[in-house]
Amino acid sequence: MQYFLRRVLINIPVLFLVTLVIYLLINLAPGDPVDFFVNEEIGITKEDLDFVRERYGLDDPLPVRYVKWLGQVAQGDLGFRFKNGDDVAEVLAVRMRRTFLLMGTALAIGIVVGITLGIFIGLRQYSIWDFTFTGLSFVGISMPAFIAGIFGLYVFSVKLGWFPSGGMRTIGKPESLIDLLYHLVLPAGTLAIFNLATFLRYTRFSILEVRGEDYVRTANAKGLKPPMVTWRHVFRNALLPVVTVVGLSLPTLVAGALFTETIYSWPGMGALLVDAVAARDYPMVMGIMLVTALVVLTANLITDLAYAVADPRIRYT
Amino acid sequence: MFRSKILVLVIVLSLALLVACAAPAAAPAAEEAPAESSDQAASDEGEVEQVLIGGFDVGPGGDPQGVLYNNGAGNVWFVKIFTPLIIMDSTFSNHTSEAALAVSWEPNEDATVWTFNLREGVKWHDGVDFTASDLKWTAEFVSAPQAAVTHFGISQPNQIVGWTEYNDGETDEIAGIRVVDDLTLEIELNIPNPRFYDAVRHFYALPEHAIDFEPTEIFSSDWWFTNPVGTGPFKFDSYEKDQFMALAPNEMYWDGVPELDQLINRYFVDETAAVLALESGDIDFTYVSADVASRFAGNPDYQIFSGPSFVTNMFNYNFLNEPWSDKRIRQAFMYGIDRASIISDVFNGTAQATPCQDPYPTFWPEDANYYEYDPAKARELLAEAAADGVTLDGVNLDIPTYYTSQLAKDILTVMQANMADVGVNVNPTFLDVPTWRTVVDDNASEWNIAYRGAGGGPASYSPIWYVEDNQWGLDDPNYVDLFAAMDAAQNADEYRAARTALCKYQNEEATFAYWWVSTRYGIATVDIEDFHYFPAPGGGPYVDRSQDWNMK
Repeated sequence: MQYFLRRVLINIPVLFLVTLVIYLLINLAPGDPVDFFVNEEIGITKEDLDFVRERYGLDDPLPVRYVKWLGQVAQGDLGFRFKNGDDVAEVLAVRMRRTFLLMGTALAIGIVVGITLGIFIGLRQYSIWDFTFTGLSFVGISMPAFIAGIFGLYVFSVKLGWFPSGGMRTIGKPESLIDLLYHLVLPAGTLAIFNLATFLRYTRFSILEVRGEDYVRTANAKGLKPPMVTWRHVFRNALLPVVTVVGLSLPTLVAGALFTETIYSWPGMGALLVDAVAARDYPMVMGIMLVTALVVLTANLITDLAYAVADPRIRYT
Repeated sequence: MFRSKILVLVIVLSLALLVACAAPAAAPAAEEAPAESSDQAASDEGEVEQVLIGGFDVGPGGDPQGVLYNNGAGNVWFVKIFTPLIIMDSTFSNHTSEAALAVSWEPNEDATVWTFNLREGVKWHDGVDFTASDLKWTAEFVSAPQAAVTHFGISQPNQIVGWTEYNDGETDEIAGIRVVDDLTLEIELNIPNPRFYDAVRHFYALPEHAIDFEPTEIFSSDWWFTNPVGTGPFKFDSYEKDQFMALAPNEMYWDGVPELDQLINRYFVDETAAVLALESGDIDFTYVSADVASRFAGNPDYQIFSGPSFVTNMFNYNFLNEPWSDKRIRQAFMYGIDRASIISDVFNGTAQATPCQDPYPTFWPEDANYYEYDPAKARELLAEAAADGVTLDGVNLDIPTYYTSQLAKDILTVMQANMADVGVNVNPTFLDVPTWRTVVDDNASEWNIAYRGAGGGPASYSPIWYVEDNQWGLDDPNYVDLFAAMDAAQNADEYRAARTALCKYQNEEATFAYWWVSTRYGIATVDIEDFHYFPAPGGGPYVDRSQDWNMK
């Protein structure tokens, strides 16, 4: 408990520093939100733009704007989007929910199927299964997300017509869980390919490494049944590096996946961040970064605590 | 054992969280706000037959989830709900304005007072009568001090008597906008303007009685997505943030009740996703770029709509730096770049060479010089200038542009190779809009060439590029005279002659390097009948008769 509290307290100044650095970086990028507002083809004068800048307080010095923002955040107010006036906290809540659904499903599929297959082929080194799944995992890891996305969409939606071309629901029909899951299959499946391949390879490697340890040979020598050896001595010990990789994947639950969200018109956090950065939408960028930083720090803490669950030898003081 | 329980608990909680995220929203709020609709019951029972789903905000003319009086684009969709005072014809080809809320308009003798006679029997979607007071109120609403808008609907509004004073907060109303009666609006100008009618094509009426937010909230109000009220052929039905807006037919529309039961605008982050949705049959229409359009050519399942963008792509030179005041340097770029090959090979013929900045061929002189590709001539001009001490040596020849498509990259790569052949090493740089603006607008003399687009109206031509303290230091008194001649034109013939003279001067001087007007496209399935789309700058607005659209 003491360890947990200490870690939480350490994270507060880290979080502050992260916001400061991000605020500086996004404000150092050339241009501002007003530059993005204006359609170049329509023709608006420089005076018009300066007028808008003044109205939004963009003519204040950078430190003043940062302190104002920090003061707002301290009061639980993340501000409003420059781009369309939306409440940043509300946008984050909606977008995170969507992204969590997409990324969580993909991660869950990746963890369950990837680790299971990893164990399966890890125990059957150099078998036809091992070669097949290891080969496929290379494909899964190597394929860029936008290629996988377009390929999936083209084959399963355009050509076969099995799944919708994107979005989160069938327009014109009442919202339903079944419809949502139907729209979730392709984007989550596309993302799961990468997760699955990653977890499969880590698990396989870890299993192979642990199987060569002295204590596994001892367990076999003393006559334990193979399933018992696998479960109690191999799997438990092989799990630690896999837990690390899973922990590192947790921030994607809120960070989202830009290409997949874009191709499948899944309005999540990935597309939101790119949109916000392109529009120099400072409050939105800061809101996303704040939440992402929080999740990264929390995920790291959870990962550390998960080590203790996976390995009884680990103790935190 | 305790740890196993914790593990199981974590897994169960994670799954529960996933399921919670998957659960449909409990109640429609700002996120999803269906309006009361007479078609709602029919829709719920699955009786909707005529549904058209399109990516109406895809492409450069779109403004996904935008609102009126901001950005200026998105008119393809806005005009379904709202109506401007007057509107462009269906293809822009005649460059004529047609009746919309106003059925006729005429100036007084010296074109300082314009009278707009409004259409009888127009009703807002909620049944209230539309009157001239709504227009005056709209002008004052969007022109109020601190109003959250980036344009005012009326171009160069400071030509209206009392507008500046009102915008500065010195008066309570715009004195020059007068309601004569319910169906007559009068606008008085500070200066004669025989073409003022062209300045009100983006002046959409808003309903005073149905708007409960302040001018400072125009940009951020939920009203646009929860209960917008207009006079257009369709009325608001439902909206789901980031996904779609659905409209229902306006049974009170003055030009006939729309045939469609629902018109839906689906939002896409990029064009590829929209095209795949079109091919999979999930949507019926989307904007597409030229290379994608060529894939659909000859396919009997689709109908292709195309038209000039009416945006001239050009090199904007910075006259604050010395070499650009030398005509020979500017002309060397015209001769040094193989424009014809770029149009035929890179654009696949989907662009038209333009002699000047004016994108409307009506105003192009017959004897314009199109600067046929002549690298020897380009080298000769550069050598002559160098002999007089004007060279491009040591000049920063980056070409910043906000066009970042593959097509733009291909174009600028060819230009780069062409200019290298004549001994000039240019360097295209592809930037996002805010960065581009910083480079070109804020760094007075640090840039030299910018590749950009320039639009304009068929009856109005902003002088800000050539006179009035333009930011690139162009100071040519001939332009003052040429623009003055246009302003003084009293009829269409005089105006055409003056504007053609301006084009000819730009062409001869090669003030900037005017390249082409590209063609833009929209693709619809053949299932839509009587459909019309024109890829107008900013999406129009133009006459599209969406009330006639129907599905086979």
